[in-house]
Order: sequence, then structure tokens, then C-alpha cells
Amino acid sequence: MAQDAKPTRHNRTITVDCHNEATFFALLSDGKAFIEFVLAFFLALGFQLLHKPSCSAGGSLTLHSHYARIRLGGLTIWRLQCPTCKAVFTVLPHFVLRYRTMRPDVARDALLATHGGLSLAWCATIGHSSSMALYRVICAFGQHSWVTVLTQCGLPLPTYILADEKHSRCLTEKVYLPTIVNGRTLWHLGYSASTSAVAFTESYGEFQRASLAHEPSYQGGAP
Amino acid sequence: MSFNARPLRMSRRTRGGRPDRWLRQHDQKYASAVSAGAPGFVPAPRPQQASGHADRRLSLSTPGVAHALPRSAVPMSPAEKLAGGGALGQRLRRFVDHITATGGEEHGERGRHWFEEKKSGWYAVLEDPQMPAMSTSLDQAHNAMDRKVFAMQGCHHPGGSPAALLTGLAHVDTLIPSQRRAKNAALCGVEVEGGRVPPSDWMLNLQILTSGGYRHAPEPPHH
Repeated sequence: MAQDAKPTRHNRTITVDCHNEATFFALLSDGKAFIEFVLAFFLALGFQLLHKPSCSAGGSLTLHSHYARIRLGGLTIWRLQCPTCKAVFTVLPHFVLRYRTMRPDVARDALLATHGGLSLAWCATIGHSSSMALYRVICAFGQHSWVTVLTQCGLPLPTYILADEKHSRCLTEKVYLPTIVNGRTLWHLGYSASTSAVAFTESYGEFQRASLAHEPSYQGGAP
Repeated sequence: MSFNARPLRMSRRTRGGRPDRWLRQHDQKYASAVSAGAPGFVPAPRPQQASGHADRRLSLSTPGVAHALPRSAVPMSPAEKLAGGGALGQRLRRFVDHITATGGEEHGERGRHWFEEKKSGWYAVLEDPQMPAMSTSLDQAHNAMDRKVFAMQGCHHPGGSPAALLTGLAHVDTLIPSQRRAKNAALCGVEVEGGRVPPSDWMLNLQILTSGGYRHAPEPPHH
């Protein structure tokens, strides 16, 4: 029996800094205060919520539902909904990582050690975790494209870029990392086992597509 | 936006009021003042210059000695290598510039074509005022990825996604305040490029920016 393909759900998780866990638990008991806190938080950041394209209002939110996350000790996760476009946003407190049981402070130490050059295995050891858990945390962060992340920081799409491929090895295989940088920021880092121009063009095309999706009139790379 | 290999032009960008030492300057007839009969022959350094950077100092300060010596004639110091001065793309480009200056435009164009075929994925979008003089940041990014990913144990998961892992590591690399130069001390890559990160905590930034539910709100135009 053929099944209808379900449309991919958009990730509308929002992480909110509650300063400490006690504040978050106190807010859970007051729905109105919770919504106001969330609104104040992302407005202070200068962000907007990712409503559906058809939504023109995008101003108010209502409590939609909540659930308890058993693996986090029964932590209550609230979901807010836009009454206009019906988009639902899952509100995660800052001390929770999406779909992970690893605490952010543990991940923070491990990532810092990784950044310093320590292996994943050692980073996991000092964090009393497993290297696979750390691997998955990093991969979860890597699901988001650079264009999305960097433009949220107010960076314009680069007018001038440098692109090159790094020849490297993954175990015994030779691999190539097509890279696009602008100044200190990376805008694309691909992974290709093939050295053909087609593979590289395809990899660089990811940046092009992401840029055009963000700004259809983008003419970066052309003087 | 074109991602095809484009003819690379010579850059005469100055740094700190000093012309790029390796490139032929506009008032110079030839790129290299070293006689054609003695290719690659550099006068011996003075005793006080005989250590690490002797060759570079000599080529800069001694009248009549080339500003645009081919790199093969001047051994690179370890510090220079660390600074990314030996980037293959830049070296090839300078080689083509050298051919253009010494052999004429026709030969330079042939060299350019050879360069494009030799390294088809290397793109540098050039406009003199804004083009980076060196691909230092690109080299740094590549080397960092090489060190952190492919040289360490425990990250080669058979069913994993190297691309996602790389992207996640690069997000960490971009957001951790790791700048050591005085001008950009304690700033992350985004801040160095003029972006704004939400709070001061890099881990919280990583969580917020990779949440998925936020989008950047452009500032209203000022009247």
C-alpha cells in the first residue's frame, strides 16, 4: 500500500535563556508570564520567530500544549502557537539540548576541549560521557547551515569570497573539503570523496542555494 | 552568481602602507630584479640577518633586490608557513603574475588557463580594494579542520555524517571567542567580521543560533 509522503516539519524550536533553572520552573506555573518572558527574550535579541510564510501578523503567541520529557527527569516543555499561522514553537530552556540528555555545561566543556585539539574520545572522558554522544551533539549543531546562522548574527552575505578545497584523509580514504570563507568566517564547508569539478561545483552550489533562499537578489561572487 | 573559475588578476593591495612584497609594483618594469642569468640566486644575507627571516628582510629592504621573488627562490620560515604564506592558490596566482610581468600578456593568459585547469575549484573573486591579500583565514580554517577532525580518534563513525560533523565543528570554531590578536582579543569570528552575537556566552549563542525557530529581524531604515 502506497503511503503518502508526510511533509517535512520545520524545526521551530527556540532556546530561551532563563538565567537559572529556578526561574524557568517558576515561570511554568504562570502561563501568561511565561509567554511574556519568551516574547521579551527574543525581542531583546533582535530576533523574530520563524512563522509560516503566509503569516503577516506574527505578534502574539498562545500556549499550545506541553509535555514532560522523561529522560530529563520529567521536565515540562511548553509549546507556543501563533494564532494566525498556527505555527507551533517548542520552548527549550537554556539548560536543555534538543533531543539530548547531555547537559549544555558538559557539552560546553567538551566542545571547548575539542576546539583546543583534544580528541573526541578524550573530550568525552573528561566530561564523563561517551564519544558517540559528543559526536551526535556536534552533528546536531551541524544540521544548520552557515548562511542561516551567520545571517542571524547580522552578517550580510559576503560580496567577496575565497574558495578552495582542502585535501585530507578520512581513515585511509582521501577526501576533499570544499570551503568558502570571507575574512574570519566560514560560509561553507563541504565534504567530498570525489575530486571532480562536478562534485566541487555541487558542494559550492549548496552555499549558492542557501544564499539565494535567504536573499533572492544575492549576487555574491560577481564583481 | 557565478561559481565558474574566473581569470585571476593581480592584486596590488598594500598592507600597512607597504606594498605587497611579493608582487610587482606599478612603477616597476619587472617583477624580479634578479638577473635572468641567475634565476633564484639571492645575495647572501648580512651576518645579523642570517637567522630565521633573513631572506625576507633582505628582499624588502635592500635596493635592487626583487619585491617579487618567486617563492621557490626564497625558503619560507616556519612562521611564514604558519601564517599561510605558502597557500598553493596564492602561489599559483603569483606565478601567473610573474609570467605576465616577464613574458607578456599572452604567456600570462596561457599560464592562467593552465592554472584554472590545474586547480579548477580554486576561486578567488577579485576586486583590488577588498580582496584579501592572502588566504590566511582559509588556510587556518583548513588546517583547523584537518587537525580537529581527521587527525583525531573516535570520530569516524561508519554510519555518521562527516559533513554534519564538520559543520558543527566549524560552528563551534566560528562562535568560540578565540581571537588572540590585541585588536580582536576575546572576540569570536562573527564579531571580528562585524556581526553581533546575542549574549556573551558562546555556548548559549550556539544553542540559540542553531535553535531553528528564530530568524534575524532586519533593523528598520533610519530616516
